[in-house]
Amino acid sequence: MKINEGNVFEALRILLPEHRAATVKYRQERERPKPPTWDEQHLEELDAMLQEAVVAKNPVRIWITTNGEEHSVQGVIVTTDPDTLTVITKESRRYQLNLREITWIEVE
Amino acid sequence: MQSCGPEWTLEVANLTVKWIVGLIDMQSFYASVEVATRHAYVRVRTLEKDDSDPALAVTGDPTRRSGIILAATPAAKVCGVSTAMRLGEALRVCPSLVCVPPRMQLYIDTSVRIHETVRQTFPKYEPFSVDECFFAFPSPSDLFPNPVQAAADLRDRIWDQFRIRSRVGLAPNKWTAKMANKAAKKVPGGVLWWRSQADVLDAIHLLPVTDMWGVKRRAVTLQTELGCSTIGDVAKLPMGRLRARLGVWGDVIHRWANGLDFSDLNADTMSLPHRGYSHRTTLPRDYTCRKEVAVVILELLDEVCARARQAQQKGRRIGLGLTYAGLTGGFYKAKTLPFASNHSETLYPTLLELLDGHWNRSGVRAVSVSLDQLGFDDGLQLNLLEDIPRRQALWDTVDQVRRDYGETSLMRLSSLLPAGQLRERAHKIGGHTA
Repeated sequence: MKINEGNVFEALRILLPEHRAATVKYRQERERPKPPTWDEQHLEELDAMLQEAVVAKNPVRIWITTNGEEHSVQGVIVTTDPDTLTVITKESRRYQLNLREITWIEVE
Repeated sequence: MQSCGPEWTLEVANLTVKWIVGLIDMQSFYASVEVATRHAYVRVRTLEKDDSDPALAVTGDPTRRSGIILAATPAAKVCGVSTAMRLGEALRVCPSLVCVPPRMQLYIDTSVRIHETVRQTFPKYEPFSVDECFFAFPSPSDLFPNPVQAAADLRDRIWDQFRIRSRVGLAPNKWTAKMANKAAKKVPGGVLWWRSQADVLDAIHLLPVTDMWGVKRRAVTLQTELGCSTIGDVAKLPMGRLRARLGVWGDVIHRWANGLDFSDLNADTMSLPHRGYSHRTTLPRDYTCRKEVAVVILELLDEVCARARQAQQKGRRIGLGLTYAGLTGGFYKAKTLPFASNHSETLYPTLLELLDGHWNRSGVRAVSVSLDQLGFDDGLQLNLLEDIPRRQALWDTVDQVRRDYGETSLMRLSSLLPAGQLRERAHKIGGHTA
């Protein structure tokens, strides 16, 4: 295409490759699914449910979201650390879950 | 009545909806970012008063190019400081000038976010450079009932979030928006709207030819050979005469002088696959020896080829540009080859041919290498004289090592010669400190 046929400014534009790369990266970051944020009340409810479940060793189903994908694990909570929770399922498999990734807990 | 562009009008019921194009640019961008990040000036700065900023300039490396001014605040400019002036001279005219080194990554990050703000406000957007972009919106419309207000709101929002001042030109097409943006400098409130082709012509016809944006050296031709002193004079020239003298640019200049421009806004500019790769470097002194220039050409060629390989592309046309001492004069010549390549050793001989064929042996101060006419890398082109798969494997390894350990982890021996620039360039963006 010649200059008189299209977007003249296409030929006159100056964009550093680093600028293009930063823009593409910024747009991708913004579109990434983010972990959900909770309000105080929700957190308190969860806290109460968790405490009960741990003490009584009740089975729970926990939903976690990692990198935009959601999974759920069902089992009994055995240990709680500052950032992780360890759960043992019926099939005796251990899962260590990151507290920050938990989206929902249901006591069964 | 001539419309200002073929696609720009739309008849809806009895109402004609036109697109208004805007060009927004940031004031003294690098310098403004530096002022905005300095706590000392926060309280005194206001949007409408340019002189509420200190006299500050962003300067290049004083040890390499006798430090030139890259950007200066309005207060510095009032003192007599201008872009590209030497640091020594700037300090003479403005002894209280605050000088700071560039932070290119910061400017890019800020620019990305300002551009996103514009992009999310209007239906059409196209970046033009780090500190300016086009946008467009239909009018009349419910979303933008008052065009000037919409532009003023954008300007306010950018001040609010970034503390950077900007200016907006609104007009029927891109070129007139660019011209309106320049004229907006003198308007309080920083927004200027030329509503129709008639308004545009009134505003620009008495301006000198040199005020036509984008015309540069062709302005001299218009003045000397075609006898034009104002833009109005250019508009009256028959298109045939302009085309005969200036080729396809004659068409463009004829339209522009008449307030017309048919350039669309390309939304995919940032994410489009590249149409070419080009790298340029300014040298710390004039290079006069062929061997030295050749070392730099090879370094730039390596960079260009690495980018092409990363994008899985090969190019058929390789070009060499030289700028002579004093940054005046030089040439740009390219050659299209019968095959495409992204390997330095294949393309280097052609660059040397171009060098020997066009260099007049003046001192060289800047060099650029470009690879275009790109196509994708599928389909291996076999060459009886070269072992292409083995060569590809070599470059794949080199690229991998450099990606993992940095550009200077693996260098040609020639880059270690005094003429080599690779180590200097490795930590910079756009030639300046990141």
